[in-house]
Amino acid sequence: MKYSYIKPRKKSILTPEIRLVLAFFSMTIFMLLSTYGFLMYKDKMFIKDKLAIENEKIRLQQNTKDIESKILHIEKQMNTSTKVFTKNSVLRDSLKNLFDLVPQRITLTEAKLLHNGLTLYGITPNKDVYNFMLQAPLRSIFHQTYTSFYPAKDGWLRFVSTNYMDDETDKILEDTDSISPKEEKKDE
Amino acid sequence: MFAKLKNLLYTQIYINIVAGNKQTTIYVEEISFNGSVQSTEEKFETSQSKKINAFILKNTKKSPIHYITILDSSISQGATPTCSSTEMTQFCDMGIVKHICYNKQWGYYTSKLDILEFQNKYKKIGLDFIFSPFLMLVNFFKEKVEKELALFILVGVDSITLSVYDHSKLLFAEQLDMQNQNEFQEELGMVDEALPTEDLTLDDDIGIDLETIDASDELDSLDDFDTIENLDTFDEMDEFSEDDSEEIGEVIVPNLADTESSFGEDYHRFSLIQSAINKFYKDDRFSSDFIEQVFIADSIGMGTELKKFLEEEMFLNVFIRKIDLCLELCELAKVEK
Repeated sequence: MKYSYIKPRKKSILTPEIRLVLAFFSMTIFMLLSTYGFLMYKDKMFIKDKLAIENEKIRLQQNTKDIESKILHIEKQMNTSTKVFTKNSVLRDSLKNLFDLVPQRITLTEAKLLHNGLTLYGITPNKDVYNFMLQAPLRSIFHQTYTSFYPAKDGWLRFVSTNYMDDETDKILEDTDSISPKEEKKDE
Repeated sequence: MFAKLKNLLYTQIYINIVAGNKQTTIYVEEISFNGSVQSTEEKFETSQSKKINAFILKNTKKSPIHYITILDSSISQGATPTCSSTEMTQFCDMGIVKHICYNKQWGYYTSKLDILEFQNKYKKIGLDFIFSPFLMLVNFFKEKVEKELALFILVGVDSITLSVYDHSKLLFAEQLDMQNQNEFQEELGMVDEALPTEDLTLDDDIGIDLETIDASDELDSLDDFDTIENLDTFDEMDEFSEDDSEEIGEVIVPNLADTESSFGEDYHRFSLIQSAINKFYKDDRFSSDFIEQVFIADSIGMGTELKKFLEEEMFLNVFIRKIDLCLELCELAKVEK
């Protein structure tokens, strides 16, 4: 029914008091929401940073393990090298001593260093010279010594002396030879 | 949803203004969310506009959901038996009036200037509704309007709203002004200072010498009202004044004046109504029919003289029902909001 000559004024439920209260509450809610949003954002950022740090930590832990294993390997290699160096030094000294042992009357034509032994080829004026002047020191060094003679054209005797030793050095050398290939594989 | 929220939050306040020339009645009804109703009514002198505004503002501050309604009391209002704008031009100047159609059957109008005047008068408090007394009358006698051919009259202090309906179809309507009451009383010899004692025939041999009354321009019907000398009411009034004088002695003078005034008002009303009915019968613009019944909505608590005049002089069946203009205005506002 629209039978009035004029239209009614719009009735707003928002009185000045209610507007003030609504403004206050809306500002409070806005501040609470913005604070909540800020905290949510910061929380998200913290979680993100935490994950990144955890990943970095895992990566560094892995790197540390790798470095530790490398250090271990290097230490082993260093030990091995030290042993080899020592062995070589010993061997060099032994060879030097061996060559020092060879008398002037016996001539070595060939020397073969075996894995655990030494094979000497040479010429001796006779068996006695060899037996007294060379075989004796060889026997003091090696555990087993085998010698064979055969005559040369000029009346001298050619000899082949095969010497073996069973000492710990050989075992160490065997161990080193057997370990090294595996470690190389690991490095690869 | 929003309306329910509003009702829950606030009390609805209906402020209804019925402004007369001398007195303005303001009826305030407060309806709370649980449906409980509180009402107050105050009467002010119309000239005390500051007091009126203060009273209304005091009530409007109680709730933002308030409706201020006023009853249109302007003289330039009326009703038309048609809603067609072309046909309405023979009843009013469509350029200067605001017209509202009722149920696509008939319409009522008032001057745009009067609406502006109302809005300007109450601009401090603002107005929400301005209702026509024709609308109030048809709502008040709704069941009669739908079923009868009758004359319906709303009697106010300063005006009379008159309309003729034939089974909801408006045949005739007119707003009658009581403003010229003084002139009428002068003519009847009822205003003291204007009453030469030789002209006033209201003495022990009471009777109005109608020969001394000139027909005014507005009261053309008085020419047709040639049987007024035979009105028994004057005799009754004579008897009434005599009885009173016996009982209360000399104090009768003001009472007599009141009775005379009431009598004069009723007679004035009667003459206005009679002239309007004559206009209805004679004016070619209205499709006239014979009126047998009159339904009067009495808002002022008038006497029985008017009823007697109408029954005895015009042979009409008169039914009077009391009306509270403020309450009816409030009901209209509730439906309209």
